[in-house]
Amino acid sequence: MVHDSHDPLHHPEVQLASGWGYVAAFVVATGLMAGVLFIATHPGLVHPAMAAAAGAAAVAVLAQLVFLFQLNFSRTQVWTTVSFLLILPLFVIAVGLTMWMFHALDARTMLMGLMR
Amino acid sequence: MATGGDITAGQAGLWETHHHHDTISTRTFGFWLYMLSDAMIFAGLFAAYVVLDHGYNAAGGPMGAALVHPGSAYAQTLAVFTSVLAYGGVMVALKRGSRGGVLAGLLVAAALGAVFLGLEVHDFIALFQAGIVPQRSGYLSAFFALVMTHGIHMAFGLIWMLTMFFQVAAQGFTDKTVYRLLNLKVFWHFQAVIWVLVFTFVYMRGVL
Repeated sequence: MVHDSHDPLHHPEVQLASGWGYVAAFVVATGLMAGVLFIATHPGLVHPAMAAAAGAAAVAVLAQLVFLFQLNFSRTQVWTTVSFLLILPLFVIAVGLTMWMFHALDARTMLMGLMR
Repeated sequence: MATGGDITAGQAGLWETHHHHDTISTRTFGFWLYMLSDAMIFAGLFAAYVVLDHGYNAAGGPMGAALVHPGSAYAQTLAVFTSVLAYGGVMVALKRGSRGGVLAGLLVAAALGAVFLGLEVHDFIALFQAGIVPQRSGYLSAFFALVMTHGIHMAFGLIWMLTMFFQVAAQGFTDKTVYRLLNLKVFWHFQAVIWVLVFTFVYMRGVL
């Protein structure tokens, strides 16, 4: 979080820019989303289709985190990476627990549960 | 405990002899934490969408495949990703100290972001004209809330880009313009990550 240069262009976060990294993120994410599109429009070819699409999305997001946000444990990025790793479980818990709670609610009390 | 006067006299010198305050890192890290809290807003919207993604919550109205054409959704994907790539060009130009490169990259990224918004608005107008509106059902409320929140972020990003265009053109690369460009990078790249989730778990999941 400290540096000794007064030229803002010499700042370590400016110097992180990587043309190859940005291109890599674009190629990986665009290709994987094309794969998700193919899976969605040809659901019989890949089974289970939604799991395959979710896997492709996870890899695409990972590529973006590594190549676009440049999350790593270097001196410049370590706190950015650590703060992300600490909030990631909160994101998963917020979505996952909500799904689980309403799944349990639907199964026991809602009309949807009675319809099953 | 020492008096306040002793602390000021003894520690000010220590602080000043080590490092000057790193304004850029402080502000970019603060903005990064803000974006992580923004991610939690999307977590709530995704959770609501997944919970309401059931025929019962559509109240007899349209769902998934009836709302979006897969080709149109992928065209929006390309627009977002190429805009993000163009903003990567802004960062490379900034690293090289090229003001012209930064300005050109900002214009290209903004234009591609505008293409995305144009496609999205076009789709929404078609849905509204067909009577598919947010208040039609709980499912549609969740769908539009999630997708429109992302769209509003994109629109705000465009305004920010145009603002930065004029600031960089007028002021060049100062501490302020540089940290703002770095923060805009985080904001714009964040939209690409959210779009991967929207495209996969809202649009393509609806098609399946």
